[in-house]
Amino acid sequence: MKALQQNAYGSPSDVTTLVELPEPVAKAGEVVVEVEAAAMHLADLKFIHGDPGFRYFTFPRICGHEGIGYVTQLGEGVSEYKIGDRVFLPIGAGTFRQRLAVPAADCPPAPAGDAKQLALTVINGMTAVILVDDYARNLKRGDWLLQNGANSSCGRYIIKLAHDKGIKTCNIVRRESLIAELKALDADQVIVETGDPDKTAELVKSVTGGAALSIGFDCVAATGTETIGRCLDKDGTIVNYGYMTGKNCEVAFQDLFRKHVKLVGMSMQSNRTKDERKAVYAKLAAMIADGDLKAKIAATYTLDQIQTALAHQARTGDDRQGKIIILPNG
Amino acid sequence: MRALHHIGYGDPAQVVKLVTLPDPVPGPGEIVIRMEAAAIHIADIKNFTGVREGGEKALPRIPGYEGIGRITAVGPNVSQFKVGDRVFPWWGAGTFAELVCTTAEKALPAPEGDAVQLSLMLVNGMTAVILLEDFRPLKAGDWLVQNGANSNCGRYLIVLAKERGIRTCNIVRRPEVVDELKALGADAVIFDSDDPIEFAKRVRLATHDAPVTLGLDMIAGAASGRMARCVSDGGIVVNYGFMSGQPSQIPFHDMFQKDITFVGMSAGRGMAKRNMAQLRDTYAKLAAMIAKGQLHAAIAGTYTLDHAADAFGHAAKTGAERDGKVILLPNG
Repeated sequence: MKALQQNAYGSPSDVTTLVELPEPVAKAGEVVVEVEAAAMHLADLKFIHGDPGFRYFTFPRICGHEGIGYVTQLGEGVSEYKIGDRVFLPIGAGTFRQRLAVPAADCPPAPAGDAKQLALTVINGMTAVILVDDYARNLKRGDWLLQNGANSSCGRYIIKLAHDKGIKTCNIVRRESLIAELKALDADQVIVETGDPDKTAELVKSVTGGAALSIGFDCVAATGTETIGRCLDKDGTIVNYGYMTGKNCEVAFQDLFRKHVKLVGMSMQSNRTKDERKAVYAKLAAMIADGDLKAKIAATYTLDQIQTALAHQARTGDDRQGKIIILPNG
Repeated sequence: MRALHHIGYGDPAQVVKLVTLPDPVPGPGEIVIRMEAAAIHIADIKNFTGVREGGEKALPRIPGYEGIGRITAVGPNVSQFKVGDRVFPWWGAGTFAELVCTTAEKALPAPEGDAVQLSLMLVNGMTAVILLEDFRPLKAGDWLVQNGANSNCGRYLIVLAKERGIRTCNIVRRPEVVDELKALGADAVIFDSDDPIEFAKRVRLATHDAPVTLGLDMIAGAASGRMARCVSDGGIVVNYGFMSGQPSQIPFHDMFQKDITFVGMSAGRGMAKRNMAQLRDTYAKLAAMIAKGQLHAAIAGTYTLDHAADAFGHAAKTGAERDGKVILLPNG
C-alpha cells in the first residue's frame, strides 16, 4: 500500500517520499478506510516546510489532513459502521495514503456524492461554519460581512453560508476575473484589492453604501489585515484565520487607538460538543452533496503524481484555480 | 502672557512658536490657572509632526494635554474654587502657556507636593488604571506582562498592580533600569529579545510558567507579536502606543488556535466608560499617591517656555538619551 511519508522538515521533494507500507489491520474499535479523495491544503506545505508554528511532528509521519473513503474492514466491537459505509476521516489522520486504520468513533458518517467536493467538508467546511456561526453570530439579516481571500474554498463557503442567513457579503479578491464567478455564488459585492488600505476602504464603503461593518475575516495577513481594520467601523473585529502572504498580521495604530478595532485569532476549538460537531458535519456534508456548497477544483492527482501536486499547491492566483485533491486509489 | 502656538506640521522647532497673547479673562464658570508645570508626552510630539493620522487639529492652537497650577482669577458662577487653589485643568486644556483659562466644572483639586511629579497624573495615571482594570480581570497573584516597562505609564502600572497584589513581568531594553523597577515593586524585570522564541522563554522563566493572560504593548511593530507569543491561550494583548513607529505585526501562528485577542486602548474610551464621580475618585487617589511619593516618575529634564524647542527635542529622544519625562515650567 502506498503512502506519502515525511522524514524531516524541508522542501517537499527533499523530505517526502512515496513509500510502500504494510496493509493496515483494524484493531478493536477501529475501521480500515480506503481513501477515495484527500484534500490538500496550504497548511500541508507549511507542515512539510516546518514553518514557525507548524513544527510539532515526530518523523516519519504520513502527510494529509483530511479525506473521505469507504470502510473496508471492521475491528472488534465496531457497531457504528458496516463494510462499504462512507465516512470522513478524522483531522490529521494522514490521508495521503491508500488505506488506514482509525477509531470508528472519530469518523463522521459521509453521504453519497462527489468525493472530491466532500473531501473538503472537515476543514474548510468547519472553518467557514465557525467563522459565520460563531465569530459573526451578532450579525443579523441584512447586515454586511467583509472578507478577503474570498475566492478561497473557505471564502466561497462563507459567501454561501452567510447568504443563507440573510447576511450580505463584501468580498475582496485580487483578480477582476473572479467578480462574476463569486457573484454567481451569491456574493453581494466583490471588489478587487487595490494594495492601498485607504483606497480599498473607500471602495468597500462605496459598494456597501457606507453600511455598518462590524466584522471582517482575514486569511491574507500583512496589509490584508490592516485593510480589513481600515474598513471596519468603531469597535469592529478582525478575525484572522490564515496568512496566504506568509507574513505577519499588521494592524495600524490609528485603527487600534482611534477606532478600537480588535484582532482575534480564529480557534477551531469551538465550544461545540462532539454531537454538535457531528450535526455540523452532517449539515455541511448534505449541502456539499447537494451542490449547495461547491469548491473549485484546480486539479486531481494520484499518489504517484504527488510531487507535482505539492508543486501545484505552492502556486497561487491564476496558476492554481482552486483546490488540489489527491485520489490515493486513482 | 506667553504661550506656545502650534502653527503647522513638521519639526517641532519650526512649527511651535513662542507667542505673547493677551492675558485671558475668565467668563462665567471659568477659572484662570497660572501653570506651574506641564508634562510633555510623545503624543504632543506626534501632534506636531503630524504622525497621528486622522488626528489633525485646527491650527493655530496652544498645545499641552495636562499640567498643574494655581488659580489667579475666577469668573462668575464659580463656587468650586477660589483664587490661590491648586488645580489640575482637565485633559487638553492647552497647558503650554503661562496662563490657562478653562472650565471650573471639570478642573480637579490638586494636593500640595512636587508640581513636576503631579503634572504627570492626568494622562499616565489614568492610562495605567484603565490598562489594569478594563481588559482582563486579574486577581491577586496573577501575572501580567508589559513592554516599555520603564516608561512613566509602565512605572505607574508596576506600583498600581503591586497595590492590588497583581504580579508584573516587565520588559526593558537597558540593564541600568532593572534595579530601579524592582525597587518600585516589579516582580520580574527581563530584557527584550528580537527572537520571539527566546523572548517567550524569558517570560516563562520569569513567571515560573504561570498563565499570563494580559499583555500590555506600547511599542507595536514586531513587539506586538512577541507579546502575542508569550501570553497564554485565551489571553489578550492590549496595544496603547507605537514607540517603534511601525504597525503592530502579529504572526498568524501566535493567534491561531490560541484564541488570542489583540486590541487597542485609548484613555478617552476608558474614561467614557466611567462617570465623572468615578473619574474624580480615581484622580484623587492618584494625586494622593503622587503627592506621597508612592507613584514617582523619573524626570529627564525641565525646561522653560523659552527653551521649548530643546524640550521637544529632548522629549523625542528615547533610551539612555531621555531618562524619564520632560516637563515644561511655563512660569520658570
